Amino acid sequence: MNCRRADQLFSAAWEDELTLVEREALESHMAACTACRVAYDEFVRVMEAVQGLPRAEAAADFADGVWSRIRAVESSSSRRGRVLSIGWSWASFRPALAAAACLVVVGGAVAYWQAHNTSSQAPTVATPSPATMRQESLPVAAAPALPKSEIAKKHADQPTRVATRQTVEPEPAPSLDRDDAPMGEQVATSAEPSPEASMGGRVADPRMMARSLGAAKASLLKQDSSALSDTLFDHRYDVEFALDPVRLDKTGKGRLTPARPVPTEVQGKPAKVTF
Amino acid sequence: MGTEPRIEDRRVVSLSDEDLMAEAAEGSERAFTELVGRYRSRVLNLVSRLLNDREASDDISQEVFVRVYLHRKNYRRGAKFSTWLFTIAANLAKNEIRRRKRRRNWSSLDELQEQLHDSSLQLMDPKGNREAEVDSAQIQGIVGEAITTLPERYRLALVLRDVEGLAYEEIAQVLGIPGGTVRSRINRARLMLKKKLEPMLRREELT
Repeated sequence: MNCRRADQLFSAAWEDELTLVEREALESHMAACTACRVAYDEFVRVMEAVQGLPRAEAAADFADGVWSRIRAVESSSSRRGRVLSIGWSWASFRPALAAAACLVVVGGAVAYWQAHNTSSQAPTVATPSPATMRQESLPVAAAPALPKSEIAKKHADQPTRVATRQTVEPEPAPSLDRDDAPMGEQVATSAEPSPEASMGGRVADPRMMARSLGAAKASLLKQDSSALSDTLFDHRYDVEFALDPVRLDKTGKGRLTPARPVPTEVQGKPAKVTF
Repeated sequence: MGTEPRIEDRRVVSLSDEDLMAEAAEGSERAFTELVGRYRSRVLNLVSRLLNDREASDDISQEVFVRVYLHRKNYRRGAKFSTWLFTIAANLAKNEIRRRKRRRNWSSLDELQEQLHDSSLQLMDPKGNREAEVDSAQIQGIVGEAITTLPERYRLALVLRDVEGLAYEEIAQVLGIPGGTVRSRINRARLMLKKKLEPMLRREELT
């Protein structure tokens, strides 16, 4: 046994918890090691000093002090409980308040959207019912906005017209893509009420109606794209590509190749564009 | 008229700690007052040895019983009451030790160094003659002070064992550590304390 190990056994020796083997080993070590003998002697004296420390005695009114503290805590907690109960009643209103707030926000948003939509798309959006959409789309699309009640009145006044229109198959309206008229012209056309519209919804030449519908569509698209370009896209980094019209033919392997060889001055290097 | 309370007192006094606590949990103030009477000095002694500050110890000891009363419903029937009580006491004392340590850290390092210098001078009086002889009250003061210089974990283990005389198993429950750790901590704490008190012990040998 070394001195370090002897040190570790001091507590067990003091409490008489050593095994027989440990006791014999410690005693034989201390018989030979004066330092450990002195150290153990000091250890015993320290333990005696600690255990001889005077005990603190509580005052006679200790329990009274405890009770007065308990009363103070209980009264303050009951006050807090009352405050909490008020708080709880507020808390119980929270879902209703939240729902009301949601309604106000959603209602406000809808009202704003409607107002905005009505003002910006006044000539085109007359919000007919889905059932009458197809029937009314041609004259109403180009007509100035009318209140629903007026439209309904018109429906009531002209029941035969609807039937007539269902039977008359106008020439297919030119799609926006195939419309030959320049965009500026279309917008200019849609900006002013068309002659058909100024006629108060009377049935006009189907060709003219189709043309006005195309103009209205174009104006809508123009408005939408301009709104998007202002809000969603940053056009500072736009790149324009000028593409030569080259007819492509499909080869036997299914690949597209130019029908005639592209002049060398036009040919470019293959480029990979990533976004 | 006056016999009923006396009978009740006698009944309460005869109850075990656990039964008293069960009655206190059901709202018996008399049972709780009996428990306070039984343990007030032990709790005060434990806390004052951990802090070496009588005034603060009184305050914290009362707070221990207040906590016991407020959390009386949490007491598990079957658990040893004294273990639960000492756990609360040890925790409150621990909080106070930490609070003081933080405050001391923030207040002044110079002050602390000065304090430590004074203590070492007191323990290692270079004169070593009869004029420097210390009486038993002084020795007790020095020992008490030396205990409070131990690190918190060793101090708690030492005081619970050597001042309050708790069993190792109970200390393990109070501190929430294994029994083997308790033994090693106590042995370590005793050796640390011996090291701190060696100057005083050697001076005493000279006198």
